[in-house]
Amino acid sequence: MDYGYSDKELLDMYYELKNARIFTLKMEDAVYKGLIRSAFHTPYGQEATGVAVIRAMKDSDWLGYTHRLQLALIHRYGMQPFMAEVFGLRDGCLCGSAFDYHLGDLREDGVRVLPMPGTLGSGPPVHAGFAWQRKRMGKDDVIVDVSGEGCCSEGTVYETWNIAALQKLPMLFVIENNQWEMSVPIKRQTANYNICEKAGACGLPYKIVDGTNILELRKAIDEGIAKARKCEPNVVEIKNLRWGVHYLGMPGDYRDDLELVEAAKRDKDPVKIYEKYLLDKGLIDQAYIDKVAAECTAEVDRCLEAAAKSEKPTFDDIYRKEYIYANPETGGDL
Amino acid sequence: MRQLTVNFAIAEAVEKEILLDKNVVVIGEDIYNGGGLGTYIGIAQKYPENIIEMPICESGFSHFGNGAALAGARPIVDLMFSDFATIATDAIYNGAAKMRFCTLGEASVPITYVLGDGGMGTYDGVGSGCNHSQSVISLFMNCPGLKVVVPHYPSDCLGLLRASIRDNDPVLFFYHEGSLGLREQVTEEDYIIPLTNAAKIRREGKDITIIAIQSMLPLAEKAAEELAAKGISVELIDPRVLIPLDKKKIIESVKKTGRLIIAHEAPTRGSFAGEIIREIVEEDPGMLKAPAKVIGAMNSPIGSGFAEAYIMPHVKDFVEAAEKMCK
Repeated sequence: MDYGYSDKELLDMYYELKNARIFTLKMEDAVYKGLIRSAFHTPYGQEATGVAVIRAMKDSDWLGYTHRLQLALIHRYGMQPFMAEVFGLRDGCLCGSAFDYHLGDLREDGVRVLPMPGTLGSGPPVHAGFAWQRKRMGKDDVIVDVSGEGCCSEGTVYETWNIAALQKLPMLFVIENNQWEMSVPIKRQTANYNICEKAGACGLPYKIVDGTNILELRKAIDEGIAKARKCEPNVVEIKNLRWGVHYLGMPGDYRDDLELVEAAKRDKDPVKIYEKYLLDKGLIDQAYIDKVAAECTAEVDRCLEAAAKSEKPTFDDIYRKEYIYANPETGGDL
Repeated sequence: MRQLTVNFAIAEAVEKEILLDKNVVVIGEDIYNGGGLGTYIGIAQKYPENIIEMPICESGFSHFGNGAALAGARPIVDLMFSDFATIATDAIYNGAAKMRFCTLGEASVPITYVLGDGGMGTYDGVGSGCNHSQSVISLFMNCPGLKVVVPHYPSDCLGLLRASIRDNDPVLFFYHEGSLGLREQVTEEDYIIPLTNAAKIRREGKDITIIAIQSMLPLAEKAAEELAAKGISVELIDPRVLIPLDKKKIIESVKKTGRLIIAHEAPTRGSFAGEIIREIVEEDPGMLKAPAKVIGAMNSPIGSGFAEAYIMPHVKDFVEAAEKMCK
């Protein structure tokens, strides 16, 4: 099937998808070597989401992300500063104080990543307020909010859908339904497994898409963003399966679906599915696959090595009165 | 001079700031109807572009306000009763207060949360009970990143709300909900009251310092009159802003009088009064000639109706405490 993307775009998407997989494998290794002191949330089986979302967005669009969307953050921040950040080191994009779950860059000329407050369900309403003010200022950028299905049990997410529909905000809500919030399977989270139908109850149009087929996914996101740019807020729900535990190191005894994971690794691997598509199309061959794998590995290794050379942040890097109050003289003592 | 009430002082501050900055916006419930407590009368009709009326979802629209602030708006988020701030606490505590820190000083959240605090019990009025009459100010004293403004009189509400809206940090602006109709002659001149060094000495004295906020101020004034007749001279201070606290005026006063009463409507346990006493004790415990006293409500939920007045402070509490200290 032809989805209408250029060969270059198809190959660039492939590079990022492969890179996501190799990056994650290497980061898993880094966690077990003790290089990463924070929780690392592997996106195995879900890599297509970050790639499709970030490549569908214009650079001027704003991203609200989840902690499993590392590839999208790498696309925006660059791999090396992102890695140093995850290591908690001062060459990181926020001096190692944010890791991959408190990032944010609101500068007009920055990478346009919206802050993700650490309490689940608080990102979407913040992003909606941001979208409202951007629209009010006459800007035509779109705000793409990516949330997991677990997050959507929070009341604030429902409140956001309601407000977004009322105010006709330039927003696309991407719900990544990986079937597991932390350790609670979808069947114990909600009686309606299609989360987007709840958004539909607020008046938002929605679409469900297979998250293991990157091109189907990309097409749905493209269409969703086009609607959002016309101030028609809408929802794309991605169905995939998280292969691993919530974060590396978390005990995985709760999983009762390991045969499904094995089947997904065999039949629903987004990287393998896309490789097969490109092979069938005659756009790549095994030599090309090997070449990309070698390039990605070299890039990740180079970034790992460079990032690891950075130092711990100092007290002064992080704790300054002017980082707490815009008018520090009115904020009192530290 | 003209007569102004608290609710119209708030509306006037909002209007004046909207006229100066089109990014000033009011977010909240019932705004088209002048606000749930009548603090925005006429604003929606005159400035429809500067308001966004919200469905009942304090948590959602408070976060929404933070997001609008990050994009360049200067939102005034109206939470109606301060008791409802608990629904919005995630947005205030985890959101607004942290976003500047989380971007290492790059972003700011110039938002003002406006909250009607306290009840009618101090005026022996019929109160609205345990979820509409609380004073929750102290909940927010322990969160770096916030500022806390607590004016009482219409002139102070006008000047301090204008400063709060202009401030580039998140500000919680509490007015006293039972005093919305409090009248005062206010100048026609254009003014703001800065949030720094904001304490106001409302009455000079030499024997005892009373630090009182909001509804406690009129009670303290009456008590000061009674005490004056008994030969006890009261210095009455309205801090007006709790973060940043005007430590200098407070400490100077206590050094002078050697005696201290702090009064608020909230229950005494865990309140900001303890914080003021900490400042004094850390400065020099020797400045106190007698044990300090905190006057506040009983440590109990508030009953509705006439029951509210039973647990609120009254003038006699001030007089008795002061007399005991000066014996």
